[in-house]
Amino acid sequence: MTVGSRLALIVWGCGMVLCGLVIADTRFSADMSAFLPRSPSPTQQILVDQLQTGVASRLVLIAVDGAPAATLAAVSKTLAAQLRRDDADFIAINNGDQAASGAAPERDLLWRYRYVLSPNVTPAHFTADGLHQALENDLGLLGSDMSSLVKQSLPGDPTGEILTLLGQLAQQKQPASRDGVWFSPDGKRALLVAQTRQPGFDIASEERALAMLDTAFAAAQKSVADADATRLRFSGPGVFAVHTKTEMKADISRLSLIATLLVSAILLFTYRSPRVLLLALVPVASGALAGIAAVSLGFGFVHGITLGFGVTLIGEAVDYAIYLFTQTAPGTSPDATLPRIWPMLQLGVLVSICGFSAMLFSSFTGFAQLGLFSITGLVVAVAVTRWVLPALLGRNFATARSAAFAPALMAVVAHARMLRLPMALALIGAVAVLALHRGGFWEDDLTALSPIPASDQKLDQTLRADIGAPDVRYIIVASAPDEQQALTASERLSTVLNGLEGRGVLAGYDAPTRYLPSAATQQARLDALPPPGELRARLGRALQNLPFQPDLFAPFLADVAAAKAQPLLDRAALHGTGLALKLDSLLVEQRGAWTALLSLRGVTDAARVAAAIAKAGIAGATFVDLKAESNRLLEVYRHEALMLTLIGSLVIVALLVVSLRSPRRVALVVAPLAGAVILTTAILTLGDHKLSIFNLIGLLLTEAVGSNYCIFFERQDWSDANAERMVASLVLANSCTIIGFGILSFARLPVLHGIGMTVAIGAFLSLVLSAIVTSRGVARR
Amino acid sequence: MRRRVSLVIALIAGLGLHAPPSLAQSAPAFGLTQLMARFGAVKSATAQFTERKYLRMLKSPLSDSGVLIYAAPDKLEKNTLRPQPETLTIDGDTLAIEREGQTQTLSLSAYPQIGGFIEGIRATLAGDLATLQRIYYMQFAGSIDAWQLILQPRDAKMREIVRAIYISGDDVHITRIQTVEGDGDRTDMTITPGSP
Repeated sequence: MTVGSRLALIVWGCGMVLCGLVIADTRFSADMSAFLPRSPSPTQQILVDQLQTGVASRLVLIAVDGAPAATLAAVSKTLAAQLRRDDADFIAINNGDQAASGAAPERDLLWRYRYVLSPNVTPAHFTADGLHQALENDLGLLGSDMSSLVKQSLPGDPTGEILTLLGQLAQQKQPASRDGVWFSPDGKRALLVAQTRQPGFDIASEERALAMLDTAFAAAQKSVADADATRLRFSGPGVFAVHTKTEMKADISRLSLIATLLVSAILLFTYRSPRVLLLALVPVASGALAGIAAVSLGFGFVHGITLGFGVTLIGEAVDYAIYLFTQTAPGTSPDATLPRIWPMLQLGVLVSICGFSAMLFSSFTGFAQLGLFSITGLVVAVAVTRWVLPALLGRNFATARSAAFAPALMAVVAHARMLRLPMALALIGAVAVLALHRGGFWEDDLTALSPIPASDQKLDQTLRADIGAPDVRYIIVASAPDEQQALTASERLSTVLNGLEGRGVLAGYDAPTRYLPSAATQQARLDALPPPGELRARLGRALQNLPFQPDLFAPFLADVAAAKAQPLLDRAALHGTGLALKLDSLLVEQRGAWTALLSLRGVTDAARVAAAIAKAGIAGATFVDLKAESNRLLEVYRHEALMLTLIGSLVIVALLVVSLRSPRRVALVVAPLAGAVILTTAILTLGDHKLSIFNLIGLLLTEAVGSNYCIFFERQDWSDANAERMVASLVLANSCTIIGFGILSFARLPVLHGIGMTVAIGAFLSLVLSAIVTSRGVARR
Repeated sequence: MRRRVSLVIALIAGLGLHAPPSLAQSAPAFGLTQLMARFGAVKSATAQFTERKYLRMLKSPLSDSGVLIYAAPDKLEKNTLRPQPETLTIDGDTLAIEREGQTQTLSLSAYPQIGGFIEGIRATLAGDLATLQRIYYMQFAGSIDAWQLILQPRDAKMREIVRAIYISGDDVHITRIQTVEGDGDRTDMTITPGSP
């Protein structure tokens, strides 16, 4: 062993130990939002943050079905009672059971603060005339079937503020109800809404909460008669996160195992030597370890998807060892082979790096990780092949058997030029497919990019519709430097929206100031209440000619006086009620800036709303169409993916021009590559399928990976006796790459599936087209 | 659900309209069981009511009147016409009150103030003795053409809301329902068959 190779082994060994140490300390994440880009606008940032940590992210929608309504209701009540005892995981459980749920503190709070909360509190409302009118209305209510509902509150609240407040809350659509609990409209599912203590992205907590839910349901099933057939189903952002993680884990371990087995089988079959197989896997394993360590150091965490992408590295990094083994003729030393193939390996790796480095600039953290992982992995794999493998192989290593199938392959390659016409026809066909493609080229549906399976998405939609959760499309966002200014903006917006509601432009809206009016508004309402003596006198006049008992309204006088004396309502006072949850989702503080969100229902004319908001000139207020916004977001992603692909391609061509220094030779590499990209695109869009951004990234990687085969083909001196071995090594390497990416196309996660399928097809076509194009050059030479 | 439908049918039967001829034949020994059996056969009915409410809050009673309508299979309407139009609809477990153009929808079981009362009458008239005895102490007296049923909630909490319900009738015609609420307020409803 030379000093050089001994040094190489030491460096390699130390490097691997260091990588191992880094990886041992690495945090792994399954948060799919890494594959959502850092959002381009502050508005979108708020939306994404809301999505990740807001109240919405903590919701779990639960359905119990499979039994008659009475049984389901009983299970719902038992389940809710069980979950309410579990403070650690859930902060709120609602199943419509008003007797058991936390509705009481909410009503108490509304009652105590009714004079600062009710928009009806104006000076006119508390004049003798105003009071008389209110009392006449009360009399009507007492005579009605609602008397038992209003009787209790009447002595303290003759002006009906509590009814106004409850009416406002009731505006939000409530689910259907049977036997006292929420049900789907068809009565087939009992519904519950749970709120977890931790946000949905906290997968460990979310997993624990869902496990608790399963346990509680099993217990409820046992304690309710005839409930054996009932079934529990749930959905929500946290549930998705857990499912995605589980699925990702399963996908990745299954696919890596299959890829490793297949690649090993091919290598074992070719070389008939377990030792060679192990040696071939050395660069792969080293590259993978270094890749993970690099991502961990660069990003602070490693995404599960990045690990999944490691599957492709198995197929790709093994190429270098294959080139070395297969091209080492019997009786020669690997040290002699290396200088011969090194220039091609070097160029190949450089081109791959160019392709992958375009991904480093992606605004998707996930893609940037894939880029860094692949670059590091490939560089380390090729370095290990170059310096470490020869040291491990020893001087007289040769794989005599390895080229046994080479002559046959060579014959095929020699006749490849006969495929020129079919290739031309295929390309014309591909262009025709692309030209005749109907219904848009690009996948416009964000859900198609989502890691959540279609069946889960459908269940979520069904439960959301059941529960009557509005599909919010239009919101108004008002940003301000502090809480009070955000609330003031919300109030001014409410005034505009009230006007629009009156004209039927929208059916209704929800605003943070429903639950927490600004201090100024609260004070104005208190100022509208007359002082005790004055109120008593006015009430006396108002009661004339009405049949109420004389002292009936003493609580009213006391409550008004108390309202004027108590401190204003603040956020802390709402704590622990359902109102706090609503407020938290509508009034958000982030990095010192406050945002009020107003969600609109039943908008009939969005343009008119937008115009009215703009005309009102409220600082920091923006009308947002979430659907348009998400379409725009998708367009931004796509544009970015397209730009990355184009820039990556240009850099690859530039690199080839610089290193090959001949337009003809560049053309011999680029032409088959371009052909492969066109054919792959045509195959992917066959049958009017649409291209996703994952396919687009896949095309970039096709260039990065496929170019290696073109370079080897182009560089080869065909008169050399080694030509046979070269062809054999290329076919072997290509097969392994196709296995790596091809296996990935069986992943259920769209990102892995999309990239895997594209590159598998593209890499195969690159080799075939390269053989066809270059062998023609050989014939002429 | 099926049981609830039959409850409503029984209630409407009690409103006393279009009773099938067979029910007019008198049975030899008349008791609660026989009465229940007769209620079940009536499918639809319309009747007028007048109601007086004696509330402690008020110096004088309030009156209202209107029409009770039953439409098969499970819908019941109390249409108040005077002094202020109001429609109360019971459909399964759902109670809707429409007043001054606004509709309020409640779950009967969630509002024992209203639900307990209506559920009581429905169960009584369905002849579901088991349910009745589970919820109420019962007293029954009288003959087929003049009977009275008194219901008192067994549950103390429910007694705070409804102290007792007195139902009087003539065969399958309910003629009067008196309710005494927990706070002493009373409602006295008189029912006469036929549309206005």
